[in-house]
Parts: sequence; structure tokens; C-alpha cells
Amino acid sequence: MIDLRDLTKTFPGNAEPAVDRLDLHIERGEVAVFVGPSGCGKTTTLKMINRLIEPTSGTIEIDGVSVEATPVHELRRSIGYVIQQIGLFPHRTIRQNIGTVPGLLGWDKARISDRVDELTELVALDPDMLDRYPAELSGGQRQRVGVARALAADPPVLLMDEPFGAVDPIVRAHLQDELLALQQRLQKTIALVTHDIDEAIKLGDRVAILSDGGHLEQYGPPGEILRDPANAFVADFLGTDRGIKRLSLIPISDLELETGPVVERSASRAQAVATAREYDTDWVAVRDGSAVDGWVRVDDVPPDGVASAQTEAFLTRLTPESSLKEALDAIVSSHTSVAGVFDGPVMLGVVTADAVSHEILR
Amino acid sequence: MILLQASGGFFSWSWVAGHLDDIWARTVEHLILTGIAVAVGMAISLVLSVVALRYRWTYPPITWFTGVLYTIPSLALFAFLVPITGLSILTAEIGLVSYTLLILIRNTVAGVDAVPAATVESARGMGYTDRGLFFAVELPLALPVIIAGIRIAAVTTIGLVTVTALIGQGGLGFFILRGLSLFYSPIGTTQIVVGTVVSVALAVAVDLMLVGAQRIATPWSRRKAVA
Repeated sequence: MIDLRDLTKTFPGNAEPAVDRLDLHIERGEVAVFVGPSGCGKTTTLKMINRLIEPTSGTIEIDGVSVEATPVHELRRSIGYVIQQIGLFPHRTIRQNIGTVPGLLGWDKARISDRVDELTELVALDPDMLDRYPAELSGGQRQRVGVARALAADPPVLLMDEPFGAVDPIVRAHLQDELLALQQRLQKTIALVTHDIDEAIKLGDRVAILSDGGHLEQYGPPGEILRDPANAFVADFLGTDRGIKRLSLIPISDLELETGPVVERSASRAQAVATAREYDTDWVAVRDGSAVDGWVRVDDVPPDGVASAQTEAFLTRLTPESSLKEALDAIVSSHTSVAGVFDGPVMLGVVTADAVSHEILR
Repeated sequence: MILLQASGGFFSWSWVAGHLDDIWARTVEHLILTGIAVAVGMAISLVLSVVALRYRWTYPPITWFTGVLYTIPSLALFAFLVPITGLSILTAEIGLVSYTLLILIRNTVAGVDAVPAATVESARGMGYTDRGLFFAVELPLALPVIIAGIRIAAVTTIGLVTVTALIGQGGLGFFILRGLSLFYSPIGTTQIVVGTVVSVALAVAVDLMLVGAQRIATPWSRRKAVA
């Protein structure tokens, strides 16, 4: 979809190029994240795609067509653009802001209005906001408007320059989740720049790690980069918790779950003790039919059996879609040293620390 | 003072009552002279501002030249122009327009410069042409600063119009000039007071009107974040 070939940019007065002979291919419908320390040329690369910066040499093609083949303002109207400071027009209402590119493309009023309503729903913006001015919105709301505005004319390509850099961490995580959900539906080709490796891992189908002077150190799916960093720079940039970061990419469903120490409500104390010993724990989960009520320490099971025991609820209920990172977090913060995996009330099994560490080493 | 008292006070309400039509006509003339000067000044300033913004190196010479115009004493300027353009409205307007340029150009350029870089970048990134960017984004956002400049230019011009009485124009300045020639009579002082007071009232009214115009033209600048 997007091809960068031998792309080089040297700014006037600089001996060293900001981007140096970069070759990169972004697949249709994929999120490619450019990540690296400041000065690595990631923003410069992004801005060359919509020609806010003209390359010194090399070519950029979108869908096999050079970006220089169309007049620059037409090219830009066909590419969504989101920047960190968002850059909403302070003198225009939210409705007008979202309708900017359709307006430039000469859509009629009714069509623009319908599209704005559609986008408002898509990015989960309160419709009451539409007649307000940007200054009246919170940072998170403004960011949603920025994304809606970039999507307004339904461009196949989206460029995002540190899109969540200006919001607080909680809002950022939320907006990242929303972007992923949106991307599931829209399947845009997205080039996104960030300095945050965790954001890159979370959002990228592929991650391009750039070093000073615009050198591409590694480009690939985040799981692959985490498992197998190409060199010391990449390993260093990924950080010492590389293994744990990789766990965030692996869903529990990739693991074979252990049944765990589960006993029926009707079990005797002896059965409970035996089950716990089998799994080397000091507790058992109590099942009533297919649903699991909770867990109980074997020492607390009364002599007349599990039926009269006081069970405690599991604090964290993971699902098969949860990541191994979440599983690990549940394991280390629970009393039971395992994480229960549930499908509604049905306990599918447990994840143990051994199983997680086995997966890291794989 | 003795002379004024001897001639029976220094303000004659009966003169005012007898010359209401005259005062009204001169007030309208005053407003027209001001209106033409500010309108022409705005048009010239807009063009020169666009040039200065587009070709940055022209900004210092433009401000230098309009700055020189601004420092020429108005009397000297009119004296210099009369042999060329005569005792005409043209002479008056050349002078009046000259004095608006510096303020209008400086405020327009400063206003456009103050538009946030992120707003400009996102506008370009969305596909605005240079011209579209200027008229749809930069100019509207610079409006509060530009209107602040227009207010100063308008108020200054209203004061300056009185001086053009010397070359046969002058609006309310006509009364001031004639009053000066009759200075030792109540009719003279009355006319000076009328010319001055109405011209000041005009300046205040025009200024308030422009404040109102700005509030209507820039509704976004009044609404701020609700906490």
C-alpha cells in the first residue's frame, strides 16, 4: 500500500541526513508504527508521506502511484492526518472541524452533516459537543474530534504523529483501545509515530525501530522484534522487561490450560486435601455444576466436607482473550498463585507461573 | 477670563440650538472622511500584509516606510500635498490613510503570526491551499488582533480629521477652526467645545461599535473551557 524507497532527507545546513536511505513497505490495512528516540527521523519520515516535507531523494508510492503525481493539496485531502497538538480550528465548532475535508472536497451540506453524525457515533463523541468550540472540550474529547476529522472523507491512509502524546496515561490507554477497536472495523492503512515503545507494541501490526539519523534498525511484527531483537540497539531500546512486554501480545487462548485444583461442592475434606496436594497448592476451587463458586483453603474446609465451607470469590477473572501479562499480574497478586480463566461463570482452567515462564522461553 | 465674563459666559446653548443641522452635517462628513480613510487603509494594509507574510524580507522595509509616514507631522504632510493635490478630499485622505497603515499592517502580521503552528500544520496536512489557509484559517484567527488595530486606527483618524479643516475639509474640525478665529466670543468657544466634544463622542461610539463587531465576529474567543 505504502512504499518508501531509498528515502533520504537532509535538511539544509545539516551534514548528516535526518532520514537515511529508508526502505519500507506498509501493507494495506495494517498499522505500521515508527518508534525511536527523538531525532531518529520518524516524524520527518511521516511528513514526507503527505509531503509536508519534501524528500532530498528517493520515492514514496501509495498504491503504486507516486505521491508527486497529484497536486499536493489533493494528495493531502486523500490522507487522514492527526498530530499530537491535534490542531483543531479554534474558530470553528466541532461540527465544522469534523467536516473540514469534506468541505474542501466540495460535498454538499446535507452529505457533510450526515457524515459528521456518523463519525460522532464512530468515535463515541457526545453529540452535545458538536456545537461547541474546541476550547470548551477536554483533551481526550479533542483527540477524538481530531481522529473523527482525519477520518471524515474516509481516506484509505491515515498518518498519526504522536496522536496520544498530549493526554494523561489513563485517557491515553483508553484512546489506544478505541483506536484498535476502530481499526478492526475500518481496516485503514495507518502510519503512526510514537516515542513510546509500549504504545508501539500495543498498536502496531508492524513496528519500525529507527535510530539516530534515520537508520532503520528493525521492522517486523512486535512479537517477533521482542523475541528476536536484531541488534544491541533494538534490545536496549526495548528495555530489560522485554519478556514481560512480549507476554502482553500473547493471549491466554494460546496456552493449554490446566484444569487446576477443582472439587465438586459435594466433595469430602479428604478429597479436597488430595486435589490440593496433586497441584501442590493449599487451596481448592469449588464447583457447583459447571459454575465455579470460589476457592477455599484446605485447612479451612470443615471435617464434614466442602459443602459447608465458606468460599471466597476469585479477585481477577481472566478470559481466554486476556494477555499472558494480565495472567502474570493476576498470579503474582493473588492468594492462590494461579490465575483462573473464565467463560462467564464457567471456569475453563488455570494459568500457572510455570506455564507463563515456559511461554517466555519458547 | 475677564473678557469671557465680560461678554456674558463662554458657552451659548442658543448657538447650538440654531445650528443642529449644521452640526449633524459636519458629523456625517467627519464619519465619511474617517470611514474612507480606514477602509482604504485596511485594503492597502491587507495587500501589504500578505506581501510581508509571503515574502518575509519585505516586512522591515514596509514597516520602515509606513513608520516614516506615521512620524511626519500632519500639518507638514498637508502643507506638502496641497501644491500637488490641492485643497481636496484626496489630499485629506492621503494623509489620513497614511497614518492608519503602520498600525493596521503591524497588527495583521502579528495576528497571523500568532496563529498556533499546530493549527497551520493540521490545515496544510488536510489539504488547504495557501490561499485557503490564509482566508479560512489565518485571517479569521488573527481577527481579534486585527480589530484591535482597526480600533486604534479609527480613533486616531477621528482625531486627525479635525486637522484637515486647515485644507478645507475637517468635519467637526470646521467648528474648531472657526471657533479659534472667533476665540474671544462665546460663539467662538461654543464652536470649539461642540467640535471637540462631538468628535470625542464619535471616537468613543466608533470604538464601542468595533468592540461589539469583534464580539459578533469572533464568538469562539468568548467561550472558554468549562471546568
